[in-house]
Amino acid sequence: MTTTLFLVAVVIVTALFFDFTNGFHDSANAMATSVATGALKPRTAVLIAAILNLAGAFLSTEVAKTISGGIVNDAFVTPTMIFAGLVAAILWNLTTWLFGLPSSSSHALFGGLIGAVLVGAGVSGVNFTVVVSKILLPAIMAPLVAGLAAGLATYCVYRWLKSADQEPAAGWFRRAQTVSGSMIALAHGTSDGQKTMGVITLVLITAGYQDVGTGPQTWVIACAGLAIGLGTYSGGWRIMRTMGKGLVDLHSPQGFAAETTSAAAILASAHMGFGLSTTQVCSGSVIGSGAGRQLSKVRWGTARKMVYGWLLTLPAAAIFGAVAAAIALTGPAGVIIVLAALLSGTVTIVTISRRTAVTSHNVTESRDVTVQFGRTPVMAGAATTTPPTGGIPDPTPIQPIIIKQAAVPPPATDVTTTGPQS
Amino acid sequence: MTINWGALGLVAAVTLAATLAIVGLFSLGVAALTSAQRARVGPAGTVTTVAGYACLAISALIAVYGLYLIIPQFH
Repeated sequence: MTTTLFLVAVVIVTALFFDFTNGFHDSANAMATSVATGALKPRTAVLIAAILNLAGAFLSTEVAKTISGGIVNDAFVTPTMIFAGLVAAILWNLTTWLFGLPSSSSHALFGGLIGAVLVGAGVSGVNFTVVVSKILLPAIMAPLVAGLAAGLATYCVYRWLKSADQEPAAGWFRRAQTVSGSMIALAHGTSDGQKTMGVITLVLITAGYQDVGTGPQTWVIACAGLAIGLGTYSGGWRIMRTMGKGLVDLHSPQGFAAETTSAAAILASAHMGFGLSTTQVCSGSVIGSGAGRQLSKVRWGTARKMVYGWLLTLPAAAIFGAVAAAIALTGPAGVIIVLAALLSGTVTIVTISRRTAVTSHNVTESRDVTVQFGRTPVMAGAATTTPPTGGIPDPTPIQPIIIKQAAVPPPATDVTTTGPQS
Repeated sequence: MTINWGALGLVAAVTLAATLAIVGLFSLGVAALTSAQRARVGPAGTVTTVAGYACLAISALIAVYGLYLIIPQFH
């Protein structure tokens, strides 16, 4: 029984940690455009988003009844597999955050679970057709739908309002952005906050600490809401920079068009039975709002890397999840090893991120998120407009591992987040 | 494998329609208000101002409907 209690405690803590990474990954979705156009100050933006996320967690009564929405067979899922899946999702979320890539937290969680279940229960535990219909297809459609809508809306704004970028019109759009960004944050809280509550509640029921068929307890709702709220407040500035500055140079009418599109798409997909990933909707909207004004002004190189990130999310998290499950399923010692790996991985990633820190102070100063391993800037964001604050001055000659471009920085500003461009 | 193409089409159509309605009305409203500000005086300016605020109000109403959809306690 003590082993069960230990496992339940570990899963709950891990689930809350995942919720935290979910929050800072997705605060960019709601607020990156508002921060980029100057509609809201960075700290104010994440504070609003955090409060609305917390409120959203309490508002919604519809808690996820299944962990994965049918992607894995929940009957086979044990708390240890959930733990392995959560660890994989956290590590993938942190990795993509390090590179400033917006990627779907739900996809990371599904991927981690798929990997864990494949190891723990075999191929029959995963419903691959549901993977296609609920993950792959929406992943393709979400950015297309959002991009089209945001593109048309932006086109109309600039057609009807020649001076849209100038005061006082721009001021109106900035004020409207405050509202549209808040809508996204609230909608996000009502959906993503529920996922962690669902996971914790299911684990409590499985372990016999809670009656079957009862809803989440108040402390679970409060903890999940606080975790996602704190995560949102911490900002995820690396991702916010890519979303707000890396893809398009946004002006407030574009920001308003993008945010309205995202809010509309999220609400439509939540109420009409075709789930679209918030992250992919929001990224598609931003690209659309750039393309609707001037197609050539979208930095397609960054967009392409983002798409690679999306494609990688599920398989990468699945591999992490499989490895974590293989170790954790050996017993309590295995669980402790995975936990230790999670902690050391987190510390490592956070340490690397500190070298080229992106904070609320410098989030809009540059378009690029750079990553520096040791003294060797592997992923060189060359020729940034400002050198990244907090970066360690590099006394030795730069020795690029992957990219040739880094040795001779091109004059253009567009070598961005994640390495070589083809 | 069942893919709910109908739901997908509906989501796409509603997203497009709602976005264009809100953003379109809002920018028409802003266009009216800013041009009224330039004109400043006369009955034409007043009419434009009222029309501008009406556009903003309608787009705000659509946003309030979105809020109604988000909060399950309302329905």
